[in-house]
Amino acid sequence: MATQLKQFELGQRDHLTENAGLSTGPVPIAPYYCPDFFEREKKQIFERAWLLVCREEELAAPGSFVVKELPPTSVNALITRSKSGKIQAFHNTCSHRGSQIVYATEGRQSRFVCPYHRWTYTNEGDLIGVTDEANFFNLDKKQCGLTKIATEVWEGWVFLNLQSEPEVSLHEYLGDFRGYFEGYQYRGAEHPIVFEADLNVNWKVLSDAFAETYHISCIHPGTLSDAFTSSANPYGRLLDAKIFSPHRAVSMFGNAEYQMKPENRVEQFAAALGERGSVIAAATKEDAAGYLSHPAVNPTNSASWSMDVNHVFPHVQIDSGPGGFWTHWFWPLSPNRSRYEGRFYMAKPETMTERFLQELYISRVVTTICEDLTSMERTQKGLESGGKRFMQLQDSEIAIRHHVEQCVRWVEAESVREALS
Amino acid sequence: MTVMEATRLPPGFAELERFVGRWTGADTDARVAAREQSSMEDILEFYEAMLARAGDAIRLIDRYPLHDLPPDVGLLCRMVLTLAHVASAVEILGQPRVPMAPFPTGLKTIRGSTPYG
Repeated sequence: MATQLKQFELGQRDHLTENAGLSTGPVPIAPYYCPDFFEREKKQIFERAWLLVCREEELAAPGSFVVKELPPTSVNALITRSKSGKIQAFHNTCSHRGSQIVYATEGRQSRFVCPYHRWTYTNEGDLIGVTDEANFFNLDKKQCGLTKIATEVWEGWVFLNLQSEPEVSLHEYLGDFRGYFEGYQYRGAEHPIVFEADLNVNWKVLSDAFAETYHISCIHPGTLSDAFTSSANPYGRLLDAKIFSPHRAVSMFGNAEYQMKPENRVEQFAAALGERGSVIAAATKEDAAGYLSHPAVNPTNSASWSMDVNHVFPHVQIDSGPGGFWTHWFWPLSPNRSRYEGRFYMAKPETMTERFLQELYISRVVTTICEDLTSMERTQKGLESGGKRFMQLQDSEIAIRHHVEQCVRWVEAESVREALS
Repeated sequence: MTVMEATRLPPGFAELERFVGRWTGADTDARVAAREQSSMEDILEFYEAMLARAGDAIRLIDRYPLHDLPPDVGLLCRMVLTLAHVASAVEILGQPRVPMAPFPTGLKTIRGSTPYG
């Protein structure tokens, strides 16, 4: 206990923010509401960066496809897996008169027929059928396939780049984060539980809410506070922060002495059914051992660890907990509206015990997210009110500071390589 | 999948049948909504009654293949799953809804766990 106390005492270590070479001053808030900044984020970030859009397990079988909107851009991406297993994204736009071809959001088929005039494409994008072709004028079908979107797959993650010729490869874009995260075990990746909400917030307000632990004792007194804070670290100061150019990883404190309250009888009942890794894990400790041994999971190897937030720029967080991983996706819709998507990956249950433990975990997740909702939209209103021009960030909010800095950097950079330098 | 609508629980669980309907939502969102829209008094009544039989219920359900439950067992399964959500009201929040959160929250389960997600 004494050593733990020391670890988080002021003066016992340098600030993570200074160690990472970041500024420590007040941070401008205009990027959180200014329409002009939003337009530049769309053009300079979302239309230039490699965007993480899904996992390859969503396209498990040859012939499977998913359709994804990519706000804030207008792109509707048709992502397919061909017979040979290749994953490729296309604009979901017919070469004839531009109609959207696929209305479903997912499925499995080898051909796509545009409903408007029945032009037919293979799932590799080739145009193979034109209704009443003889009535066209020297139509060159080879030139009329679906328009490709640059697609790369890394460790099961599917990334798209909307530049017609990406300035940098995904390899270069991920930089040192690649080596840090390679070999990570994605437990339960084929069975996500998915939550969605459209919220009246800037996408960075949404992202910020999941990037720091300073708020946990205030906003999550019943759901998380006891597990994320302790008498040794009452404000849940971070264990660690790592910066990887636009990406970053923060590791969060966990209360190793966490005890269930005896009056929480359903929680006690569930614990008796099967021991989970923690209140933020659906899986058991035993089958998580291999996953936990990866150096990027609990990177400081702390006995007082709760979870890590690994932010893949610009809009996805891959979180590690004691039982497995989950993801938060932040899609900008307008300067003050965003789509939240939470994907919590866990094995398909085989027994009622497992199913019940998952529902208990899901209830905890839903409750926690709803707690976050209490402050998010009010924060947006406060930011927009013009009452303040700057926000004050402390050391445990390093991920927020770095994210805003990177957004400004990308907005101002003339090239992607300059933004990454 | 078409789920045949059962209204009766398996033999041995007659005392829980008064909770069929409100506390047997077909999916996660229905179960969350039932909790959010009920009084704490009703939540506590269901919490006590269901918790007292939860062990028995899970043992009975585990005798069947989880993804192919007979209708009456499936109904019991949905009732047990609802216990997870009322537990949040009783053990965490102290009230049916998250304090100060917007209502409705706008959060939707797009894909739940199976069965009855």
